[in-house]
Amino acid sequence: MSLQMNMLLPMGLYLCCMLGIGIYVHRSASPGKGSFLQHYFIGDRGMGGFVLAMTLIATYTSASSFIGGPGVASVKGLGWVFLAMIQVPTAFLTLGILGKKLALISRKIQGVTVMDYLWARYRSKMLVLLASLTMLIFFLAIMVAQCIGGARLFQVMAGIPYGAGLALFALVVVLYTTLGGFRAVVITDALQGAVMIFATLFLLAAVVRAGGGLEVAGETLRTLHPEMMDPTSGGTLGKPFLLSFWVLVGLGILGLPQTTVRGMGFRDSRSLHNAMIIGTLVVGFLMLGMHLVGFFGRVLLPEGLSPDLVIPTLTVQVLPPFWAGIFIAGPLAAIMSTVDSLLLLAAAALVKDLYIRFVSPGATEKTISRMSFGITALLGVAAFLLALNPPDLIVWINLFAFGGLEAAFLWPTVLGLYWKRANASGALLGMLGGVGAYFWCSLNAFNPLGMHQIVPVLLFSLLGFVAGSWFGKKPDPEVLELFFGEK
Amino acid sequence: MTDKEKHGQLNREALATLGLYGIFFLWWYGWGYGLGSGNPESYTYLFGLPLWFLLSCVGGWLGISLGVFWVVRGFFREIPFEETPESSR
Repeated sequence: MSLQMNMLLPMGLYLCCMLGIGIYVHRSASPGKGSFLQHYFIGDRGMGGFVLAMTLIATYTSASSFIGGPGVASVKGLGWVFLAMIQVPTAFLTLGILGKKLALISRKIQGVTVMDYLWARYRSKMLVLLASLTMLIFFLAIMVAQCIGGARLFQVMAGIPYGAGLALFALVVVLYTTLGGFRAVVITDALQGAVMIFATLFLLAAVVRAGGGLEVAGETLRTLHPEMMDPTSGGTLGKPFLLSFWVLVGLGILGLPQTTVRGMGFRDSRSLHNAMIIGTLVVGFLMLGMHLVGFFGRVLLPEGLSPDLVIPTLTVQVLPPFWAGIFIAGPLAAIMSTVDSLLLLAAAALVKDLYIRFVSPGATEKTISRMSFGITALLGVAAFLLALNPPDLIVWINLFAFGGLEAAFLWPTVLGLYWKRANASGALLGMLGGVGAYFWCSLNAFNPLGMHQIVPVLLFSLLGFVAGSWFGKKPDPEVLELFFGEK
Repeated sequence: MTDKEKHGQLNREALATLGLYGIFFLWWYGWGYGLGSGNPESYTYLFGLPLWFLLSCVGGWLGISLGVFWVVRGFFREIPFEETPESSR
């Protein structure tokens, strides 16, 4: 019992701290300048470089980078760490390609969501409706899955019953997100990012030390499991499979709405430049560090342990309880920082992209602000209830969510910014074709050469996009002027 | 800076980003599969880890961070995002 208390105390303090940030941001909000939407959903575009880098990475790194991936690395070895390192360019790639263009355009159109951008570029209600619904469904599924991960963590680590852990976890995330909006999300993300860095650093040091130091631990693994020293993991990780991750967690991430929207919220060029540098250093450190924890953890763990239990077990094993309580905050932070961003974006989709655009374009500021708070809270509660007793359908959709979002949004997002000919029929065809193909390929296990299905899916979606754009109507001159500075 | 000039610079910056991405891929692939094929027993080891891993993953991460720093500082430009009288012509 005392062991639990020792761990609960730092975890509780950590959660209170997040809550405090939400309340502080809510109190300090100055409703005088700017519109409520600009303030609540994009934080008046005030992010500096450090916060931008951290929120991008914290949103991107989820339970899978902190628990799932390292667990697999403890079985597969360095081949899986090699795979994880494909994600090092995440920050500089997204910011370098999407950042400034979106910053420029979103200011001109007063845009706060990805749908605002899609609307300004393609002028199609059908597309916005379809895109919003796709995003909502996938986001809800991811949120539920992440909440389940968070509650399990409480359960395994501190012995809190699943339902109670879930309630505690959901309460904190929903409260601070609802109260503080975008600013609370990015400030807590920055803090959570810092926690992830320290958790990784200390856990890695502790695991290597417990294994007898780098040389000894490496030597042991090499003798017992030589295949763990190989990029193909003894032939079990095929090259086409590994290389297809350059699409799934490489170029494809340019399509994730939760990273795209970060391009609308930063202050100036300098912030973006700094975020590209900081972000690359940090994401590389987290991926390398956490996966190496799993890798070296193999020497300390019993054989045949379920991969998902590797990180929780190691944390309890190598760190004293009080410190374990602090460092379990690492994966918890990874989960919370993903849920908060998705929650806010889903609320924005409902309020801004669906309600204001289609139902009531003349809604007053007061109605909008009430609705925003209400819907954010409501969505959070919905995710909580679904996670309490997860329906199979949600769990199933979650498996498709990451790739599905890429299949829907990659080409409409990127080609809209860089290809003048891109138009609504192309975007619709690309989006529908992409999502459809993704479900088809996944259900029929269509993996040519052993590649992940995202590769053929994105090619198919590109084909649809180009064909639709070619045969469809040319974009209006005003659109071209807005997006390319020339007709 | 006119809008047209801004977009020209943004296109060049996007290409530079893709260039960095390509270089990281080649570095990762080259050291990883170049040194890391064959029997793991015959690899060169340093600090208990194989050399292919240290070069491809640890070296690649630090190297590309330096590369991003260098390209962003030397080639990327400060672009005003707000409308200026000049940009609207």
